[in-house]
Amino acid sequence: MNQSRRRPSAQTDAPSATRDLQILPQGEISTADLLRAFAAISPNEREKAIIANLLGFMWLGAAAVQKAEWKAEKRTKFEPPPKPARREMIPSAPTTARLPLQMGTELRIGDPITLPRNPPAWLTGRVPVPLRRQEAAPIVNTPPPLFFPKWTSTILASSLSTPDVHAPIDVVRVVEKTAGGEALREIPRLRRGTLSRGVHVFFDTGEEMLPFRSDQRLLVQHIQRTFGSHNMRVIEFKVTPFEDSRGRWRRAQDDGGLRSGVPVLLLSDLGIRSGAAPSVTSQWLVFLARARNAGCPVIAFVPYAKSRWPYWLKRFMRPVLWDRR
Amino acid sequence: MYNDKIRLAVKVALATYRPILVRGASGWGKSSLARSAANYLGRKYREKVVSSRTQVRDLLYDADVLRRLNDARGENATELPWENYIRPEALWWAIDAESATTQLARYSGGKSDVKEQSVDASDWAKGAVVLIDEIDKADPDVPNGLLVPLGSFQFRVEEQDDRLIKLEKQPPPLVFITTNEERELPPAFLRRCVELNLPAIDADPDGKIRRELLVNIGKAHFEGLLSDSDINKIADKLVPAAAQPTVAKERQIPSPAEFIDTLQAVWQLKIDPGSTTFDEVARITVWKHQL
Repeated sequence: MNQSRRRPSAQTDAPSATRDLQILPQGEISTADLLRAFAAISPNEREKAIIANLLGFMWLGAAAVQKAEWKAEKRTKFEPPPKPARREMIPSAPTTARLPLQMGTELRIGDPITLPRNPPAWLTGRVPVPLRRQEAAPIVNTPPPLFFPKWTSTILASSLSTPDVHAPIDVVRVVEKTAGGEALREIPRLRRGTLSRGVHVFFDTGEEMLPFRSDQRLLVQHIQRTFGSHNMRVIEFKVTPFEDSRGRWRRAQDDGGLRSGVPVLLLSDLGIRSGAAPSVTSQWLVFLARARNAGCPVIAFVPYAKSRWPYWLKRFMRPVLWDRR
Repeated sequence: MYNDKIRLAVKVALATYRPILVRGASGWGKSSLARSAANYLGRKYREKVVSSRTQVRDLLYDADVLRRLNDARGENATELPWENYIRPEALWWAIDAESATTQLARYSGGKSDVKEQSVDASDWAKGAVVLIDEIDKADPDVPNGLLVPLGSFQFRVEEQDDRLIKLEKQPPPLVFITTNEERELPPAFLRRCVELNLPAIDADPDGKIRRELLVNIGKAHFEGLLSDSDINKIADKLVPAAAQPTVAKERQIPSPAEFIDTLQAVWQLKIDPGSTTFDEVARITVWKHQL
């Protein structure tokens, strides 16, 4: 340990002890920090594991300590699981009872099967056991969403915000210009984004996006919560925004067109999966040109690796990798 | 009400001079931990709540450029030294309170509203506790920009010819940084922090440990005002085994802030915890998200 670093006791922090203190620039947390903490605190084995964990280390003794604690806890606190309550179950059919298909002597294909009108004696007077919830609805393992749920709001806010024209005045720039004798042609404002303009969400319903359908829906719900349903419009399309969700040609004025200055969000693979035909690419380019003329910034959430993005993607819009990586 | 793990985290941060990054759900005392530590250690306390517009400089000092421009337009404007327009902020006080006191005196220039804030540098002899609240709201540059001031306890004031402010006469500050995890923090920053998750409980699947914690917090806050049986009764009602199957169990356990709010309402309004009025109060203070 570096002897030039004289440090106070962690508990007392007496000012007199720190008079000659010299703090050297510290880099990332290292084993020196661990040793420093051990020297100052004199921890027991359990505390050593916690300190190592706090500093981002894995303490090899931790597993053994935990195991010993678990064993001790098990010895003192173990309670046997409660026995399940006995329920009256429907008994299986007695072996002597004849099943409907055993009643006839011979059955041929096409012959109608007649079942007895009255239920057999072993079934009468029994109340069926209701299905438990788990049995009624099988558990389906849904894959985790493409964006971490906690980050989704921030990603949406940062990628879909537009410059706020009502942001506070940038005093530093005003002073710089005024002090330099420069006339103010416009009032400089602080760079701040706003979501007040809303968003157009273009929702690709094509088969290529089928693996990401639940993510598309989740994201639309999240956008609704972030922007408010009054402040967004969802436009479904297939292949390109010029075809509606049924594959019919969409006219420019359908769906009210694009509102000036409102960002456009594309939830689409942009034909990456199927390999877009030149005609499809040209339709996309026409759509992007229209959006640009309307003053609408275009943002695309693309669920494929950057290496697969088409050349025009970065040039005419702001792509965001729609993935956890 | 702080358990061994939290105390240990504070001791480790004091021993290693590293900032503590406090994570955890809202209402579990991330921000109040810093103030409590300051009270316990007898240190001065400064805090800065971060917003999306906060820059690293805002945590070190504030340069009043508008006042300087205004002074430049005055009739008697001959010299406008920057010393008169720099106001020390939280980390300056925590690193060198003596120079911060001098600087504040120059900045105030006899102004009564600023002069009231001046303090004696000797008050800082025991050191300081600084809270940088909600760092995840800031631009990603901010955490990276803090690496030098927090790593070496020194920084430069650009407007004063790169004047160096460094730790010399007081103990290193204990810095608490909180995050609500709305944004990922840079790895370089994370690797320099002691990380603490609140509530510092390893495993509590049935909520029993958190219930006990809430009861203890309630007893500490309302000693002599509410009976222990009332506090237990309220805890029983607010930490049910599985009352709302549609809501995630984690969300059903109130935070200490919500629990204290409920106890405060019960005490102030003299409500019987067994009455239907209490259920209405609980709906307002705890079950807000289900209304």
